[in-house]
Amino acid sequence: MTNPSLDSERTFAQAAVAGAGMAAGEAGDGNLVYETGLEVEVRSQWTFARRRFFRHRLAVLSLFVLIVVLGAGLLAKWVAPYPYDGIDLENAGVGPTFDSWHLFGTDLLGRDYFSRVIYGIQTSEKVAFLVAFLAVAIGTVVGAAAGYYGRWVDNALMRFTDLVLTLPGLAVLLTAAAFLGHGSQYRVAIILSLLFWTALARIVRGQFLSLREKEYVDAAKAAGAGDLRIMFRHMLPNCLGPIIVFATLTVGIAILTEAALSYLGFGILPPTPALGLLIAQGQDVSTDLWWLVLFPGLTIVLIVLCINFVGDGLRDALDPTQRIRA
Amino acid sequence: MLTYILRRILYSIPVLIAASFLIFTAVTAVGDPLAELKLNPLASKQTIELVRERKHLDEPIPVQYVYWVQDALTNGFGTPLLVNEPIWDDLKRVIPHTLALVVSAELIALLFGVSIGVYSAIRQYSVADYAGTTLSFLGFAMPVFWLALMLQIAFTNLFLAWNVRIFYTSGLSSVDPGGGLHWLLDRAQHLAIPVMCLAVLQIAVYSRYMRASLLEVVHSDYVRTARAKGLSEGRVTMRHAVRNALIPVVTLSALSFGGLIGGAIITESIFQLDGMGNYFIENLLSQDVYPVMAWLMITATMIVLFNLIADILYGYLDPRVRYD
Amino acid sequence: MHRLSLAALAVVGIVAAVFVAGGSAGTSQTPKRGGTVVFAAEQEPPCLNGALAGCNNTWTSWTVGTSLRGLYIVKPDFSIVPDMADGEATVVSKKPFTLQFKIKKNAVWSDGKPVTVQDFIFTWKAFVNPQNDVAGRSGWDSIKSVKAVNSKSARVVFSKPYAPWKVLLATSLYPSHALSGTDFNTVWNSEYKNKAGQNIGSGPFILQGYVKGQSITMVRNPKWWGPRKPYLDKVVFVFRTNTDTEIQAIRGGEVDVIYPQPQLQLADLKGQAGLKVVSNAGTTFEHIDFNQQVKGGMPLLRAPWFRQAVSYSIDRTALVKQLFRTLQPNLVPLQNLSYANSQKGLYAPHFEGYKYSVAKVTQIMQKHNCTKGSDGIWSCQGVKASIKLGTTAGNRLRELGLEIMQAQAKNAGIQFIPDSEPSRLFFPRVSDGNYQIALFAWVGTGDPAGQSDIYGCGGESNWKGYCSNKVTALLKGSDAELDATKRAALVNAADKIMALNVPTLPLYQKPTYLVHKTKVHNIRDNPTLQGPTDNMEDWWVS
Repeated sequence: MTNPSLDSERTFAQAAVAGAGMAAGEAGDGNLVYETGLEVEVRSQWTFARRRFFRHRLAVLSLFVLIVVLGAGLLAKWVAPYPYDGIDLENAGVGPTFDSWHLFGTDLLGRDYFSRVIYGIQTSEKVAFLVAFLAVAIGTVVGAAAGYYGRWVDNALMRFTDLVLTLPGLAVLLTAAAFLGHGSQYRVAIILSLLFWTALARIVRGQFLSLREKEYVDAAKAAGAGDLRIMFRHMLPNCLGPIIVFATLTVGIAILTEAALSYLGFGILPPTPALGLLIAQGQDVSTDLWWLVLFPGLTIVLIVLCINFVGDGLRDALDPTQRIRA
Repeated sequence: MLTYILRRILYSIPVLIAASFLIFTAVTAVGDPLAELKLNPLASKQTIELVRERKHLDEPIPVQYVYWVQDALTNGFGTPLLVNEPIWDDLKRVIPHTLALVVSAELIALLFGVSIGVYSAIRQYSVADYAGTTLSFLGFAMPVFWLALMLQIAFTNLFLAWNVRIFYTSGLSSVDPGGGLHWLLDRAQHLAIPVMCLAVLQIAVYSRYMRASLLEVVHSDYVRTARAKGLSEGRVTMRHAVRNALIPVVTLSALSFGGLIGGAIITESIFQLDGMGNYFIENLLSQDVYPVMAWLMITATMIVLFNLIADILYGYLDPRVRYD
Repeated sequence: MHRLSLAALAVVGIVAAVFVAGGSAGTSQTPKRGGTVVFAAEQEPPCLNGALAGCNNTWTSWTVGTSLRGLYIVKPDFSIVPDMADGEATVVSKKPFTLQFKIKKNAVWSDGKPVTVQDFIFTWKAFVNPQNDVAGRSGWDSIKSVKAVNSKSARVVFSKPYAPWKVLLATSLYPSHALSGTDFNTVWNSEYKNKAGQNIGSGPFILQGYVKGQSITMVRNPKWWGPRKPYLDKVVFVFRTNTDTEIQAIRGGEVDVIYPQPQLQLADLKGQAGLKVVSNAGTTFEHIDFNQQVKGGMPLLRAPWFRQAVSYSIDRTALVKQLFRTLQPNLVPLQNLSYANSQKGLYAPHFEGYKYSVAKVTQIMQKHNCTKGSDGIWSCQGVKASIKLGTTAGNRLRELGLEIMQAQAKNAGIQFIPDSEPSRLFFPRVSDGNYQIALFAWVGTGDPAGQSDIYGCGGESNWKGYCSNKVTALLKGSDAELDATKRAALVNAADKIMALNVPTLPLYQKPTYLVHKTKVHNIRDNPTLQGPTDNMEDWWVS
């Protein structure tokens, strides 16, 4: 499996260092302070961030599109006009038409393709978000520990990260298939997340390495705060930018990796529809029945594009040093 | 710094050993490498027994692992399960093919990615920026196997329409490519489309990171200082901003170089490019563990080595970072 | 990854194709001498010595295998006729089974040395040598002695009667003068050379060059002893494992011939100018095996009536139509487990009674006191008719077939649960008996040798736990029956019984596809295991 090369920690370490707005000791409680006669609303940095985000028009539009598309996937049972496995050999290979509401046509076995794509979105988003969530969780924990404690903890954790980087995902997947049962989308998601977290660990580590020199950390320590509190209450909020971007990128990469795995026969198995599997299955007849590849392909592109614009917006919103002219 | 490097190299050894043991176990633990042979009712039981014994297939996995280590150290990685040819010869053959493919793709991706990223950053939020972003994400979001097929069809149709062969859609060389320059040109024509497939994804990645990095550098203090000093915008951009913004991209590239030698599995397989990726997947699927291990040792070493190089490079280029 | 699902023996087995639809373009033109044909091979031989287990691959025999002839050769109509042998071998005695053969006077190797009995003896010794990683010894290990009468003639004494002796004699012979004293396991892995370093062979084309990972080049043999001299200078086999890539390559003219596994994409080529598409029913056939072993976990499969019910719940005709509508519309289901439906006089459609019938399924189920659940699935003796049906993941046609069968059976009240895996995990499970119903292919050779292993009680390849003493006796008897007609009768009698208790349901013969540029003449499909390269001496390009 080709290396997803997500190691962007250098960029975001710099972003954090330069992001003065968030590094200063604003733990961001957002307390309202009332003075007699004058009500001064102290807004938390989250309010500012939200404002900046909503000024980013493209990100807002993408968020809206995402909610529609992903929502349709989650509510597939109600949105899809047909069941995804409704085989109807009489109507196989029909092109997109308003007839019987086959908006995306039918596939080789006569199943309504619009429904299959909708259910495919459901499977793919479940896998992708699970992968992103787990990868973020593991990567953050490993990176935070490595960056905060430094010394031998850092060394050991980074060498462990190196080890995971050297393992070929396909070999691991193939073996896991034998032990954990085959074709299960959750098995695929878990294995993928176990291999994707390394990039985030390096990023977070980089952040924590520079952040721990900050005065407010010393201050917190002097005040008697425990390690965990310092890490997760004070330092982590300052790393959220790169973490969020990583999460959004990972969702996209997870969907694409699932497509590649299905092409090789390692991924989610039919009849469960998943976007990548639909493309892999439609590949063989793609010059005749072009809609079999086009629609799931466009869906993937749309989802990945929107996720990345939203991630863009989030990063811009959380990093106030960039002037937003949107 | 030197002690740091030596220490990193030392610590890499247990990583490589652990990786080798894990993957060895993963590949041998399930299934039966002789299963396909046994499928044939007329297959010779004698031969199957002979192979089982010679390759220690009935021993427990740790014992098999030790045999492998022996073979790897003394016998150039040994031989595959059934074919009596040294694995090292295969590796010598496939590595150059992979390098030609992935290094070209990486260089092209860097060139285009950085350019698009710089332009997008300079003209942030312009139409060009959005177009660049959208195009690069389109490239990013296309499954490589689908893109490969589309490009093959496109160039075949071009040939059918104009009767001029621009690029070849498969293989490494034509039947009689000639010598010297002819051979080189022929090889380039064969590698062009696969390089395109690989580069498209990487261009998207590099342009995004370059853009983000340059945007952040452009708003930093030292760039403001340069502007305040009265330097022209172009001077500011090229001399100061881009150079510094390149740092993360360079280290990112160094990191991904490590993984490149593993080969691009799907691309090599579709275009029949006899490289490391194809070697790996063929042997993984036939459960031939010695070739898989040989592949792993090379790729793992490269990954670990380039991680180290990337870290050193970053420490060298960015004076704010220090290693203890 | 479009591999054949089974490794094929390099033994040039009995092959047949009554449907040789003919691939030659107009014979009205005069053949031109010279030229090269580029043939895309869908698999690369792992090594070139086809006798070895490691090199054993259909494409090995279809490429370099053509340069080593045997005493006999298999024709497209399944007949096995003398090739290097001078006339038919004679059966000198039946007890002990003794054959006498004579080699053609003009049969020579490309370096001028004559083909002699020594070559046969060397080949025999190489096959039975326990140190050699030979793929299949069947037949060779039944030879007790070979006595040379003169340099071109010998007597072969067998230790027991070996019915498929003609198949045995069709094995490629190795040159003893080039290989004696060498290590058979390594000497011819990547080249065919004699002791003087010259390329050697006995076929119309001999191996000249092998670029691993890329191509095999074969050149015209100047000393070819056959009746017609080859027209072409060279035939180059280039490896293209991905079918989509092969299709684009031939569309764009990067290769001249392709012979791919059936893929839906192939339908695109039918209308293309300058290309000819030929398709026949091959001898590899898809089937589903019912696992009767306890470890399979589906006890109902042990009952013949249940297996019959399952067989009636599958519409094989519709399945074949759906899968091959665009590719091979004439394909029909296979109704015999041992012979292809093109083997006239041998093929008997014992399984044709299994037509799709919900009524029949209902009848059988009710007769055995089964009840239908609320989800429409039958339950018998407390066990739900919910069966795991697995095949090799990643194989589109098989996956589609599985889904079609799922839908068909559901209508009849039987539930199939997909249980597929990549082939590397699937086949070990199958050979371990760890499955319920498995969908895969047997590589048929047209000769029933090996059936006793697959269907006989305790047979090495009998992973479904099927055991019928009658069938075993009939099949074992056929292995020793020298009379061809009697042999076929025994095999078919066994087949008839198996059609009743259906341990396996044959589905269809995999179609073959030969696509070639119209400028390549006299090339034709040979859907038998011999392959379409058996007549390279007749090919010419205009």
